[in-house]
Amino acid sequence: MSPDAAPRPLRVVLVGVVVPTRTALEIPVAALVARGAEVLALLHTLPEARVLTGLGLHGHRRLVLTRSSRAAATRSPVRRAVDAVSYRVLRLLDRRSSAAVRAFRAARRDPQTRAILRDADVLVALDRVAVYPVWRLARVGRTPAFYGIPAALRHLDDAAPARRHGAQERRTTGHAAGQGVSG
Amino acid sequence: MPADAWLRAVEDDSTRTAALRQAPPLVARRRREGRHPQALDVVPRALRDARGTDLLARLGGQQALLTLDLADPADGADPTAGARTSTGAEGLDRAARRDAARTLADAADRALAVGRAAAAADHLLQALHVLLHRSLHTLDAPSPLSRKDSGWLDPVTRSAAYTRLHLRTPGAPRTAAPGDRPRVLLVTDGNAHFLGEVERGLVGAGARVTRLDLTGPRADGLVPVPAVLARARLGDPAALAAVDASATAPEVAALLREADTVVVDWCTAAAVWASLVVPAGARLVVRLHSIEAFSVEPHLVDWSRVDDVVLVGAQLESLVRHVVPALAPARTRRGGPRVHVVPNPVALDGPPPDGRTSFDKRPDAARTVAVVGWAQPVKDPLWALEVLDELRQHDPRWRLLLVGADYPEPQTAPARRYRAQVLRRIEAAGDAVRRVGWTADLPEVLRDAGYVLSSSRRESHGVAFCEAVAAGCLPVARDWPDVAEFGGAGEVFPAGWVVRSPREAAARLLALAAEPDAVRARTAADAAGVVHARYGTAAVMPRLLEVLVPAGSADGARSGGGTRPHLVYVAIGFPPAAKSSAYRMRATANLFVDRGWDVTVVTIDRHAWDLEYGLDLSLLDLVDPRVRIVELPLRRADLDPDVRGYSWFRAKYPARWVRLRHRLDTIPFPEKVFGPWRRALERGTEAVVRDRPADLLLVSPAPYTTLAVARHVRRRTGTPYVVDFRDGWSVDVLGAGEAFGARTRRGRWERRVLTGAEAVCTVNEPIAEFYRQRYPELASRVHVARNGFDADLGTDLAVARRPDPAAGLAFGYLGTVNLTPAHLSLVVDAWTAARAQDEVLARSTLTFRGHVGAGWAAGANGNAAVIARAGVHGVTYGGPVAKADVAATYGRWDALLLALAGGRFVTSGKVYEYMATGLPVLSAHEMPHAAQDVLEGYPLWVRPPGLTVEALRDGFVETARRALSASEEDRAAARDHAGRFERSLQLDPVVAMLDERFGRRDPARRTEDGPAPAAPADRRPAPAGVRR
Repeated sequence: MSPDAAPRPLRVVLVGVVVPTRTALEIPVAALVARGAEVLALLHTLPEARVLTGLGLHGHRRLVLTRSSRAAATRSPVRRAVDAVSYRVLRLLDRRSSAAVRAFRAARRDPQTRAILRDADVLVALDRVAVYPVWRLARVGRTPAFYGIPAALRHLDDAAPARRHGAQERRTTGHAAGQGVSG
Repeated sequence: MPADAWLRAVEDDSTRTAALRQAPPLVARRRREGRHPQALDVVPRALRDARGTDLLARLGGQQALLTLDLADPADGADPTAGARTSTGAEGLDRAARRDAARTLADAADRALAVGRAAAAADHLLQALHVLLHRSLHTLDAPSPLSRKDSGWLDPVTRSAAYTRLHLRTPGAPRTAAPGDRPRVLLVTDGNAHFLGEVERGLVGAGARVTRLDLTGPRADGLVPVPAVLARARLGDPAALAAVDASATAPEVAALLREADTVVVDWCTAAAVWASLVVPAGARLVVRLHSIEAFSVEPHLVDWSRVDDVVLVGAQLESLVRHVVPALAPARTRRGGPRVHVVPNPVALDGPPPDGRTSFDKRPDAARTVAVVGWAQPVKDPLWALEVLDELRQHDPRWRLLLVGADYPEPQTAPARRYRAQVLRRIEAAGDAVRRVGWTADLPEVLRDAGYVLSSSRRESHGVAFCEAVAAGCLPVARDWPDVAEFGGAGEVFPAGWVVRSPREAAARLLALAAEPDAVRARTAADAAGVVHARYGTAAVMPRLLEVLVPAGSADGARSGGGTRPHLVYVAIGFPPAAKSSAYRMRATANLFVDRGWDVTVVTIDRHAWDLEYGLDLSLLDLVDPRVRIVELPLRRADLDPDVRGYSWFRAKYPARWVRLRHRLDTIPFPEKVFGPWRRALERGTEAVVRDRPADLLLVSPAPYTTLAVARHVRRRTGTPYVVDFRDGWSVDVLGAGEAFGARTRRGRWERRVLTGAEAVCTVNEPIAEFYRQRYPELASRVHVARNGFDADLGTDLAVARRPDPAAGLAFGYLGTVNLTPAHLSLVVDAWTAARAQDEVLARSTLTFRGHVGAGWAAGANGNAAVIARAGVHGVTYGGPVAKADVAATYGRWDALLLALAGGRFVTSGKVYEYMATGLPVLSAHEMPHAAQDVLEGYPLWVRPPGLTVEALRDGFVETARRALSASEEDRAAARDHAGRFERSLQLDPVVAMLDERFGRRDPARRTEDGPAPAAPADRRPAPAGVRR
C-alpha cells in the first residue's frame, strides 16, 4: 500500500445469538456505516430476510455447526474422515451445550467466519447470550469487544482521530474474506 | 461539464447514475456563474430520475432557489402603469418555498442522525437560503418575517439539525479584565461605513485599536465560505480543520491572539468565523444593523461564544430576538450573550441647537422635501413619490429632493423592475423631482429642503435621516412596515414624527408648511436637539464604550462574594444526563439561582450516562451558567460494555453474575446497583460542603442511596436537608401498594432519613397522602411539587401543523417506552384494529420516539420487538429525542398517544408536555390514574372506558375524528388548560418556601414540628469531632 492510500475502513463484526429485530439494528447500523465502518453480522439464528434487507450490512453469515467445505473439496480421504468425525463429536457436544457455547464453536470451526474475525477491528455482542462467544473470540485476537452497538459507536468516535493518521493494513490477503458472504 | 454534455450523460443508462450524482454541484456552479437557463435545464431532468431523499431534497432546494432568482413577482402587472400595482414577492408561491425548506431540513435531520455532519450542514444552509432569499425580503413587498405570527422560519428552526447548531458550547474562562489600554480588534467584512466614529471613540478612551478587513489585501480569501463555516458549526472535521487553518494564518493569528476584545461590525460571515476562532480569553462583541436580520449568517453564528450583541434600534432588537431563536429572551436569560440597544453614533458638528438656532434655508426649502439615500428598493422611493403626489394635489409648488448616489442596475429581475418603475415615475414628475448625487457636505445641500422624509420599508436607525434633521430639516418618518409589528419607527423617533401612509405624511407636511417661519424654525431646532441628545456621538459613545471596553468584569459582580445562601443539591441524573428526572432537577436548580442562591450540584461523571440512556447536551444550555456542577467518578459496573474486562463467570453466566452482584450491592445500603456508591457519595458531598458551608442540602432520589448522603452530611456538618422524593420509595407506584414494610431494612432507613428531613416533596397528591398516612408525625412536612412542561426552552410547544386527511394522520408517542410488552402489544393491536375500521387511520402512522431499553439493550428489548412486528401497520420507532428537539418532534404529529404504566400513583412527566401542544391526546392507561387529575378539563382528551383492545380501537378512531375536526379555538383552549402546569409554576411555591426558611432572610422562622432549626452555614457550630 502506498503511503498516500486511503485508510481501509474499520470492520465491525456484530455477533448475535438471539434473533435480532430490525428496530434494534436499523439506526445503529446506519450510524456505524455513516462513520465509514464495514459492518458484518454473524448470527446464530437468522431472522426473516426482510429484517436484514436494506440495513446497510456489508454481509452476514450464520453461526451454526457445518461440515467443512474445504474438507468436502479435498481429495484426501483422511481429511474427510477427520472432518466427519469431528463434526459428529461436536454435534454430540452441542446437545449438552448452551447456545452461547454452540455459537462460539461454530465460529471457531468455520474458516470463512474465522477470516471475518481475523480482520475485525471491533466485535459487538448484540444480546446477552452473545457475550460469551464475543468474550472468547476477543481473547484470541485481542480485538476490542463491546456489549451493544452504542458502546461500539463511542469506541469508533474515540478512535477516529487516531485512525486519520494512518490505518493498519488488513491482515488477511487472498480472496476477500467475508465479502458478500451468506449463511 | 457543460449542461448539454450532462443531458447526454443522463440519457445514457451506463452513465445516468454518475450524472445524477453530479447534478447538484453542476447546478450550483451554473447558478453562481449566473447561467440560470442552463441550470434550469438540468434540474427538472435530474428530478425525474433521481432516487434517494438526500438527492431529491437537494435538487428541490436548488429548483426553489433558481425560481426565486429569476421570478419577478410582479410579472403580469402592467409595467407601464404609473400606480403601484405590484404586490411584490407576495405573489410567489410561498407555501412551495416552505415545503422545499422543510424537505431540506428533514434531510438535514436524517443526515445528522447517522453522523453525516457535512451533508446535514449543506441541507440546512440550503433550507435557510430558500427561506431567506433576497427576493422575499429585500424588495418592495412585505417580508414574511415582518409578521410575528408568520412562523416563516419554523421549518428550519424547529429541525433537530438547527437545534444542534445552537447547542451552547462549553464556556471557557475569560482572562482577567484588560489593563489600562485594552486591545480592541475591529473586524469587518468590507463595510466599515459605521466604524469611523466607533474607532475614534475607542482611541479616545485609550484603547489600542486595530482593524481587520477580511476583504482587504491582508486577509482577502482567508475566511472560508459560509458552506464550510456551517459544516464546521456542525462539527465536520474537515471544515473545522479549514477554519483552524484560517485562524492560524500569519495574517490574523497574532491579531486574534493579542486582542482583549474582538468587535465584529455587521453580522456577516465574519461574525460566524469569529465565533469559531476568537480565542477563549478574548471577549467577542457582534453589532447587528438591519439587513442581517433577513439573512442567513445570524443563524450560523455560535452565539454561545459571543459575549455581547449590540443592536442599533429597539425595533431591531425585537425583530432579531424573534427571528433568531438563539437570541430569544428565554435563551439569553440563562447565559448566552448580553443584548444591548445602542444607536449608531451620528457625527454632528457644533453645539446642540436650542430654540433660538436658525438654519439658513433657501427660499424654496419651505416647499421641498428631501429623501437622503434613496436608491434602493428597501428605501422605497416610490412611497416618497406618492407623498409628493399627495402634496402636489394641494400645491403644485412642492418638490422632492433625492440626495445620494444614483440608482445602480440591480442583479435580480424584481429589483430591475422596481428600479425601472422608480425612474419612470421620476421622469414623469419632471421638475418636481430633483436628484443630487452623493455629497460630503450634506448640510449645504439640505439648505434647499425644509423637510426630510424617511420612506424606508425598514431601518435599523436611519443615520442619514438623523443627519438631515440635525441640519434643520423637519422630520417625517414612515412607520417602517417591515418592522412595524416589532415597534417600528416609533421605537427610534418621537411618536409625533411617525406617519403610517402617504396621505398622513402629506397631511403632516402641509400642517408644518402652514406654520409661520419662526414656529417652523423652532420646531426644526427642537427636532435637531432631539437628534443631538439621543444619537449624537457625545450621547451614544459612552454607552457603546461601556459595552466594548467595560470598566469592570461582569463575573466579579455575579459571584456575590459568598454572601448568598448556598444550596448543595445531590441530583444524580442532572443534565446532561438524558433522563426524565433531568428536567425537574434543572428547573429546581435554576429556580434557586433565580432566588439568589449559589447552587452546587453533586452528580456522577457525565460519561457514566453513556452506559444508560446517553447524554442530551442540549439540556446543558438550559442550566443557569451560575450553577456549579461537581461530578463524582462513579459509574454502574453492571452496565460496563467492555467485554474484554469481564470475568469468565460474568461472560459465561451473565444472569447469575447479575443476581450475585445485586446481593452484594445491598451490603453498604439496601439498594441494588447503587448501594456500593454510598461511601463515595457521602465523602464527595461532605467535601463539597466543607469546601463551602451549605445552608441547605437537597437530595433527589432515586437512587435512594442519596438518602444516606443526606443523613451523613447532616451528622457530620449539621447541614439541614430536604428530600425531593418525587415518586417515593416505600410506595409501589406501579402496583399501587407498599413496596416494602416499615420494619424491613429499607423501611428503617426511610423512616430514619425522613424523620430528620426539613421537608419532603412528592410529584402528586396520592404519593404525598401515602407518606402522610405512613408517617403521621411528618404530615405537615410533606409537600407536593408537581412536574410540568418546560416553557423556557425558547421554542413553543404549540403545534402549528394542521392534519391532512388525504395523507393520513401522524400519531405520536414521545417518552421512554417503559410499558410492559403486554401493554404495548395491546396498544398496537388496538391500532391495527382501528386501521382496519377507519379509512383515514388506514393511511395514518404511529411513531414512537424516546428510549426503548437502555445501555446494551438500547432499541433492542421486548418493546422494540413489538414495535418492529407492527411495522407493516404503519408503526415505527424513530429513536430518542434531545430535549431541545422536543418541539420539532411534536410539530410533525397530529395526535398523541398517552400510554402510561401504573395507576393512581403515576403522573408521568409527558402528560404536561402533551397538553402544551394543544393536540388531541388519547389515554391508553389503567383507570383510575394520576394523569387523569391533570387531564381533567383538557378539551381534546379522548378517554376510552377501559384498557381493552376494543375500547382503545374506538379511542383511536375518536382521536382521529377530534384531530380532523378541532378548530383553532379548540386548540387554543387546550393550550390554555395546559398553561397552569408550566413547570416553574409548580415548583416555585416549594422553592419559595425553602428560600424563605433557609435563605438567610429570617432564620428564626421555622415550622414548629420540624427538626431543630439550623443556623446559617457560616454561623453554625461544627458538630463534635468535625473539622471545618
